[in-house]
Amino acid sequence: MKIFKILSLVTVLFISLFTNYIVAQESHTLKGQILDMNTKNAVENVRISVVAEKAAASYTDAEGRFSVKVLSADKMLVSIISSGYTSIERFLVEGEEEIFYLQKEENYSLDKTFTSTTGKLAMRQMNQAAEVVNTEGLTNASIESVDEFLKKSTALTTSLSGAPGEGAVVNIRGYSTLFSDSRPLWVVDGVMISEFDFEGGALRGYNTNLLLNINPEDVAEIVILKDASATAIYGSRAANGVIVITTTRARSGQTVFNVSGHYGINFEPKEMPVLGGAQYKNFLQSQMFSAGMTGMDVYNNYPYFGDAVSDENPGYYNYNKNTNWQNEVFEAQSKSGAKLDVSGGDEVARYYISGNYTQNSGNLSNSKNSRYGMRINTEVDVTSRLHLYSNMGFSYSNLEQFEQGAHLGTNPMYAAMVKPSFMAPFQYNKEDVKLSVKSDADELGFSNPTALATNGVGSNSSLLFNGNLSFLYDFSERSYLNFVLGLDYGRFRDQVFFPDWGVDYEEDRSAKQFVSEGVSSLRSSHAEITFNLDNKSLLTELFTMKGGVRFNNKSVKQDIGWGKDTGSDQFKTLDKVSAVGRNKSGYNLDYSDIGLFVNGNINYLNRYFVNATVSADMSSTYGADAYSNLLGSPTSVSYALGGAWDMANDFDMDKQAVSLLKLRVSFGKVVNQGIGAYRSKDYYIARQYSTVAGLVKGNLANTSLEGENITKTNIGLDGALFSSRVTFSANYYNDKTSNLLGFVQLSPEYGADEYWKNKGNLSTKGWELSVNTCAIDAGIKWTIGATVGAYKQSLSGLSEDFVLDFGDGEKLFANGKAPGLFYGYKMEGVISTAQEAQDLGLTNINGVDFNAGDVRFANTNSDKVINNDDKQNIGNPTPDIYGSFFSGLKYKNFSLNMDISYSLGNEVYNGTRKMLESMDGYENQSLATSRRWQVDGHVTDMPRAVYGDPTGNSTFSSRWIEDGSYLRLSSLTLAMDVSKYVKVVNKAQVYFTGNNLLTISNYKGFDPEFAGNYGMLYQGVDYGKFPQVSSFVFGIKLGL
Amino acid sequence: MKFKKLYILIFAAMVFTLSSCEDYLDVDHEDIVVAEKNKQDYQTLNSSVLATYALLGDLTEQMFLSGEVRGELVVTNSNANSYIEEFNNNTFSAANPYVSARGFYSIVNNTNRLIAENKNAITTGIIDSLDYNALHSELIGLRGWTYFQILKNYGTCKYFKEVRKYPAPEIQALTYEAAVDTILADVLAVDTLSYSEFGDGANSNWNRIRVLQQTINTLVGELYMEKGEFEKAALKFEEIIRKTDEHKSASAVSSDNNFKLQTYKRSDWRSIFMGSSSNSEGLFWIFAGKEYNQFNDLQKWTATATNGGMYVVKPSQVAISNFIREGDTWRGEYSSFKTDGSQYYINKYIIDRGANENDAQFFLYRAGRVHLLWAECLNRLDERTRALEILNNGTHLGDGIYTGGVRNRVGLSPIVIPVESRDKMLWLEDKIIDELALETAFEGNRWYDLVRIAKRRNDPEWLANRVLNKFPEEEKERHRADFSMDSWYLPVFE
Repeated sequence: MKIFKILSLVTVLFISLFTNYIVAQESHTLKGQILDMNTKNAVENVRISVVAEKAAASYTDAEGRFSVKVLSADKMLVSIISSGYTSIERFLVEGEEEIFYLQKEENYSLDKTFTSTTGKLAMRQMNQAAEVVNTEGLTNASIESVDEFLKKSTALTTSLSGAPGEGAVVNIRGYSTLFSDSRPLWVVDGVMISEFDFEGGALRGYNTNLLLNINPEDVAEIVILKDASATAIYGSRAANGVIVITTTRARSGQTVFNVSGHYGINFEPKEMPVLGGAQYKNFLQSQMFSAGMTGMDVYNNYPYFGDAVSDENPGYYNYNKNTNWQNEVFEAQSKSGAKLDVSGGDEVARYYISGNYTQNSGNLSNSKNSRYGMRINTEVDVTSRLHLYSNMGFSYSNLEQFEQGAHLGTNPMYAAMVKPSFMAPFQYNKEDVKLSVKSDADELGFSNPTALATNGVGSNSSLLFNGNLSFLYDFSERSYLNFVLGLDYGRFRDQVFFPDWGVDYEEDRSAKQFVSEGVSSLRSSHAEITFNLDNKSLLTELFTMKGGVRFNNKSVKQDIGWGKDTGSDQFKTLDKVSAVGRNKSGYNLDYSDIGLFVNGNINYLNRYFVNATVSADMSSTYGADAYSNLLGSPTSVSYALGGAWDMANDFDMDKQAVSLLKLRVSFGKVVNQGIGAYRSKDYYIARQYSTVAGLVKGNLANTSLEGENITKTNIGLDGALFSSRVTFSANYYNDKTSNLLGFVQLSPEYGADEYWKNKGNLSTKGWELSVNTCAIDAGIKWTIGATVGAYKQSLSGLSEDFVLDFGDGEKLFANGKAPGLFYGYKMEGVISTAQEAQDLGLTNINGVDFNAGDVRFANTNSDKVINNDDKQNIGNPTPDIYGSFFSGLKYKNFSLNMDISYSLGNEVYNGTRKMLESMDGYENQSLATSRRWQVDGHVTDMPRAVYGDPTGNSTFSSRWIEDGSYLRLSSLTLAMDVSKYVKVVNKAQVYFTGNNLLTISNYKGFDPEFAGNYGMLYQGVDYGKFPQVSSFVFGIKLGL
Repeated sequence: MKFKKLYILIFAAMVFTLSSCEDYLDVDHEDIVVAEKNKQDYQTLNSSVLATYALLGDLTEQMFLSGEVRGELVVTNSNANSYIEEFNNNTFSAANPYVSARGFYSIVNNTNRLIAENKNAITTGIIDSLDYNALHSELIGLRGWTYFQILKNYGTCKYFKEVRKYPAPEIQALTYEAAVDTILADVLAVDTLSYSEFGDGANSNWNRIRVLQQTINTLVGELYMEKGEFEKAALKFEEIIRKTDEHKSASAVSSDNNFKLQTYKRSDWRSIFMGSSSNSEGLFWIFAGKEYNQFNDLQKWTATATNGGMYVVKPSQVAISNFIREGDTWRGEYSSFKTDGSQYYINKYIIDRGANENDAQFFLYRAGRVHLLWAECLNRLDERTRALEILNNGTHLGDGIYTGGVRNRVGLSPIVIPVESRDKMLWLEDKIIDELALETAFEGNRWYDLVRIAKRRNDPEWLANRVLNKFPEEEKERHRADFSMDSWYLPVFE
């Protein structure tokens, strides 16, 4: 096999270079002293052992001093271990009696280890742009999905919605692509997880989440890999960065039980202020006149405008209530959960088993979400050389909610806002007695939101599994072979039902009931063999290496069926729908790739670091004529070279003041293979005509289509100051995507809509900083942390500028500009007088004149017609700056933790407000519309209300773009350690957590934090996702 | 040693996984058929030819807009979107999805591919010559027909016989005249006898929705008309009407009369538009069927809100007055249009359909129209008597075979050329055009009919004057420039 030949050659070369660097010599004595980092007191009984000489070891005395005799060289690596402290590895030099400080285990330390690309490393040895996420508070029932925890990192993380478990959009250093995969790679316990966005599922507006089977409470560590040095080894699936999750490891020794439980209340969200019954009635009447009805028409068609109940107007009381509809659909509900884990084992086999149940009913009436999860992590030492590891996570969850998005008739939240407020959930008779019958959809075409909430269905159940089995074979103390097999499986089942009674299904008004059901599934398998030169029990090694080959295979399927008229609102399933109007859709996508990779690291004295990585990938997505056939098929090559230098030593800095000052530099190129399953293939698709289906051309193929290249340059500085009381990590990065996937608009004779091509560049420049400080440590301990990030993007080299439609509006993709800018008319005010309108003389695209009361849109080319030529950049959804704060206070048994996340300077499209302020139909509108333009000369910022909106006042424009900045107290936890008072257990803690208690923002929608979807096109587009839930939770944790 | 076995197992697993990179990367795409894996047997070829007509189905709305909404018989309503409105006003923006010739060229590219595959299949002996000929002639015919639609819409076309790859050298667009010659030559190069006919094959349901001999003959007739060779054109049209008789089989007898205007008389005339049964006078139409989820927007666009529609287009006052003036109730308010009490709507795509079924057939060629085209040719050949017979009460085709008259079958009085008329040919031609407005209103031909005549007479004003009538008096002149000769053809946005 060609692959193995190359691999073994490289391996042999490296081994022969670096094996003999320690040469035996005569006896020397190494001395030193060990002090506590914080108290500066001597630490007794610390074990000092020389790594290279097993026999050489010593313990500190009462003054913390030690001396150890060694045979070999004068500069020896020793490991310093003391219980209660974080172990360290240091170089000792004969004749220099150095002082070493130990940090208590519970405190932050540079010697804490983390899982790097190649194995365990101490934080001080980090020579790539990697970030260990602060996982404190992970277990306090504040998040549903593990991705939400990245809000505490420098990755731009935005929760998708308040639907429990929908997860978050995690964006490491901006979107690197316009049309390729834009999500980071998730690696869970060494296995690549295939994220996939099941778009267009039966449950509209809901994004499935494949990470749901990782219970946040089972997570031991999250590391974000950002620069090329860190990610290149993962090859062409890691172009958008990597998030490495390690779940709780099995531990040997005494069997330990942990039990925890929580119970909490979700609050109702803030409501949108809408017109009350009487106000709305006035508004409705003026809209009806505006629609061309006469007073007689109105009173004949809508008798409830009459003054009192009468035989002609028996329904009077149904139309003269004052209902707060939002109050009817929002409801404070409970959330709760319990978790049990057991770990233990002996020298041969160890295990960690956990099971959990959570339920979170959100804050919509009748919504429910429950989840069962299980995890089994085991380690077995089959022989002294062969080890077997297995990690398995399994979950089943069932979300019973409703569809999200801008569907006035079927999203209960939207339906509640636009529903006439003078109507009521239940019917009333002539005597104004409330009946037990729900009101039907009204004559104006609005659903009864409570009927939807009671009888409608919008559920998603998921069955998720991810597991791996790995065999590790030790050739020697510092070389091993690792063989990993992983499987990732997810199946999502959607069920949607809209009843006839009370619901107006706007997409198909001929439908009585409407049913849609769908199944989406993903299977991804992963196999990887690596050869490693690395001593697993040692952190400091001159040379380590890892090389191997991996195989990935992914299959994605979706099937959706829908139909209407089940015969009764009792029948809610697809098998009951009538024959006419039955329809289906779906897709099957298959991918596979093979990657070959090798990485080498040099660490000289923990001061100088060099790393190099090469990865060669073949993917089924690449065109047959792309790249060279380096390994038999088109092969893309990613590479990286990086180095780091801890300057603290070389510049003789005061070790107390500056214990680390490490400069990092890396450069590399990574490839994004996610260019679509078959965009590069020449293919046919099936079309049916009458009864026969046959094949027609599916595309105009570009068989040279390649992955996108992202060259990444990173300069970083890591530091630890004042006895490591202040640590920071800063990065400046300059990433450039070239070979950007895009399409060319073709002249008609090609008979195809588009031709995919690699053309264009996307540059991303930014910086990020994370700081951790231990501000006070004297009885009271106060730690403060912060992360902050910012980036700017710019497009170049596109064949032509283009706009993409996201449904309600457009985004601009233009050379020299940031990608995905909101693109539309600019509102300059409201035309106040007829004279002003005449002076302006503007008409719209359909030739309708703008009058007094209409929006004055900027007419940039002075042609007096407001059309495409007047569209301009009206906002950038990327924040200027984003990040988080963390504060942890500890006093005796109490601790108070606080997490704050923020996003500043991002502009967002408020689709909810557009619906509530368009004033173009009969929908109930927001209170703000009461200041609408009404008489000539009226100066206001709210245009007039006109039925049908002939001038297009509500067209997508800067009118709907708002500042989406926010600062949010995402969690606040008060915990108390009560172990002392509860004798039967080893550990006991109670806590109170408040989630999303406070949000500071000028945003006028429900919630400034939302994401329509994962792609760039939907960034900053608020089209009716459920708002984040605020909750208050009480929890308890016990250790047995 | 039991662990030895385990190692062997692991090793075997590794070897197994590594067996072949190429096979591993060659994933089985289930949504698509990768071109090189496509089969080329008769079944695949034949079904792919049929699938190509589905692409034609995608163009239904576009053909309706460009053929009918630009003409004087249809106007838009206020709720038409700007793209549909553009057809009403005959001014176009590049963003208009209904303006592009892409869909037509997609059919051309697909027919080109299938022609090549078909040739390859007979060369390699996968299919026999009978199947080859049938598929080949149909594909040539479909391509020719498609090119003619491109020509009628855009006034020019890029003619090529291979599948376009990108990037490829630019193709020079043909002039209108050159294109007509090219299409004609291409279609005539195939022996018309190799075209299948009605009644051929097992499944007669397909007779009228794929290109068979009758379609080709109509196409050839139309092309001869474009060239001014009315004699050849007239022969073709006569052949279509006559042919069904020569080849009649026992089961086809009744439907033969359909083509001779003898079945759908008076109150039955509306049945032409009922459903898509093969028992109709249609020669070629675009299929739609709700049972197969094959829809078009015509019903939705023409029905009023009371009938569940969007009512974006409606019959113009001109169209309605045409019927009323002639007292043509069978084709008028009884069939072609109707009122829901407050507003008139186009009824041809709604007849016999429930609300929102949206599967109206869209006629491309039918007997009524073929008769009028024949009459148009005869008039130009100064065979006015016979032209009038076809227009009025029917004519004798010889051998005791008669075909009905267009007006007679709906009970209208015959047209008589007034003795005082100066130019009898132009007078009658106007009458035939007027008759087309009654017989084929809203069927997607009007604009092309008007352009054909205006072009033949070299009288752009004739067209403008007719079409402008659909606008309110005060708006007419504002629109005049948009209906000049320069705007007969849709713009080609690159």
